[in-house]
Amino acid sequence: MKPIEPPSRLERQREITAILDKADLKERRFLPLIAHMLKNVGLINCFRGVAWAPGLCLLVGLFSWGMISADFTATVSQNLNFCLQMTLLIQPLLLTGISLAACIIEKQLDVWEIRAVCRYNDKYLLAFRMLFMGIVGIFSVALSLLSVRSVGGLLVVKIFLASTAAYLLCGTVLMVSLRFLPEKWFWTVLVLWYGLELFLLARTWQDNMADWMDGVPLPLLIIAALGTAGFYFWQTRQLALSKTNEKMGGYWKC
Amino acid sequence: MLSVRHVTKKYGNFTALSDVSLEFGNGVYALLAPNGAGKTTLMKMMATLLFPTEGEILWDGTEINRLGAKYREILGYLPQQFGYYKSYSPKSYLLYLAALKGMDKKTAKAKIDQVLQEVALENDAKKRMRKFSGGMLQRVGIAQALLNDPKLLILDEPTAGLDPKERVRFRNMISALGRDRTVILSTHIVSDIESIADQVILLKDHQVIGCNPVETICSMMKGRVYETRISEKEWDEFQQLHLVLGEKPEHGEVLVRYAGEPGVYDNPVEPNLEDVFLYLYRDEKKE
Repeated sequence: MKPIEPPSRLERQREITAILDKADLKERRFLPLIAHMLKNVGLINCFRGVAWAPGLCLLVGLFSWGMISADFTATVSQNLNFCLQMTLLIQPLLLTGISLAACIIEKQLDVWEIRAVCRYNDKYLLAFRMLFMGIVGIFSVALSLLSVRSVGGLLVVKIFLASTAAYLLCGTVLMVSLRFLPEKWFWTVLVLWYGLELFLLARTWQDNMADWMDGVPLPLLIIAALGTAGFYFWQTRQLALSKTNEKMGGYWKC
Repeated sequence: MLSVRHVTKKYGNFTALSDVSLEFGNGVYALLAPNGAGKTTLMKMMATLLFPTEGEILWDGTEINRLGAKYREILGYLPQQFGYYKSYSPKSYLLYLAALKGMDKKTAKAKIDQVLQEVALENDAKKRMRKFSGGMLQRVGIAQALLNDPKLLILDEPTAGLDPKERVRFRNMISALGRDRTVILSTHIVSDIESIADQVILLKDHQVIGCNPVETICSMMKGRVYETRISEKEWDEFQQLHLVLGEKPEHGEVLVRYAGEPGVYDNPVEPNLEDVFLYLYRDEKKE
C-alpha cells in the first residue's frame, strides 16, 4: 500500500482560497459590491477630481432644452426634427464626451496609480461613475425633451426611448474601448465613432425625422432601450470585475 | 510570502524583464540597477498595475490578480511619479485614500495622525499640497503607502527629493518596518540601502543577476578595489586606463578609488556596494 502523503502547505492554501472564493459573494455580485463601496467610500469620494461631471451632464440637458425651445417661429414639426437630431445624435456625443474628459483628466493627474492599488481601486470607481453617469445622462435626455412635451403622447415617449438607447450605446462603445484597446487604437476608434455620428447628423439634417420616428413601432424602441441599458450595465460590471481588462491592455493601464 | 516565478514582460519586440524568479519573506529587499533596467516594471507587476507576459506572481501561494482586493488590502505602494490633488492638504488627501483603502473614519484619523508624525509632516497636515516642495510631497507619498499598515510595502525610488536628514529618518523607518513585514524598494542611490537592506537584488540587461546580502555582494569585489594618490596632471591618463570608482581632489592631488584585477596593484581597500554597482554597470555608464 502506498503511504498517503499529506498535502503541502501550498496545496492546503490553494484549497482554502478556492473555498473562500466560492463563498465570497460580495466579490462576484456587482451591485452589492458597489453598494458596499458607496457605504464605505461615499458618493463624493467616488467623484474626487471630477465632481463637475454629473452637473455638466445636466447642463447639457438644459442646453439642449434651450436650443430646441429657442426658435419660437419654428413649426412644431421643425422643432421635433431639431429635437431628434439633438437628442439622438448630438447629446449622446456630448454626454459621453464628458465621461471621456473625466477619464483623461484623471489619467493626467497620475492619481490613478495610487488608487489602483487600493481596496476599492479605480476600476470599481470608474464602473460606479459610468453607472451613475448613465442614470444622470438619461435624466439629461428627459430634461431636453421638456421642450417638446406639448406634442404629447406616444411620440415623445418614442423619442425618449430612442435617445436613451443612442446615449447608452455611445457609453457602451466608450467602456468597451476603455477596457480592451491600447491607447493608439482607443483614439482611432473614438474618432471613427464620433465621425460616424457627425456623418449621420449631416445626412439627416434636411430629412423629416419626426415622421420616420412616428413610423417606428413602440415595442421595437422598448427592446432597443432595454437592450442597450442591459448591455451598458453589463459593461459597467465588467469594468469592475472582469480579469481580462489588464490582459488586453486597457487605456488607463498605458 | 511573495513569490515571483519566471516572470517576463514584453512590449511588442522589446523585453522589459526576462525570466525573473525571486522569493520575498519578511525583511528589506532593495532592487538596485541603473535607470531602464526594469525595476519599475517589476514593481508595477508586483503591485498589480501591470500583467506579466509570462510567469506568475504569488502571495502565500495564490496568484495576486486572482486575490484581487484581498491582496490590495495588505499592499502599500509608492509609485515613482506620485500623483496628488494640488488643492488638497495631506490630511484630506490621506482621508480620501483611507476611504478607498476601506478604512473606517475613526481608525483612519488616528492612523493619519500617526503616519504624518512618522514622516515629520504633522505641522503641515492642513496646508495645501500645491505649496509643498518635492521632498514634502514624497513624504506624503510614503505616508499614504503606510496608511493601511501593509504587510507588503513596495516603494519605487522612495528617497527621490529627500534631503540628507529626511533620508536618515526614512532609512530608520524602513529598517524598523522590515522587522515584521516585506519591504521592497527600488533605487539607484546606493547609500540609501547599504545599511538597511537585508538582500540586494541586482538587475542587468532586464534580468536578475544576483540576490544576496550586502556583505556577500561586496565580497565579489574583494581584492579588486584600490586607492591611490595621483597628481592632477596624471588624472586624464589615469581615467583612460582604469575604471574610476571615486575621486576626491586634495591639496593639488587626487585621491582615486579604482577597480583592477586582484593582486596587481598596492593598497587594496574594502569594497563597498557603490564600488560593486559602478563595476557591474560600467558598460551602461559609458553608453
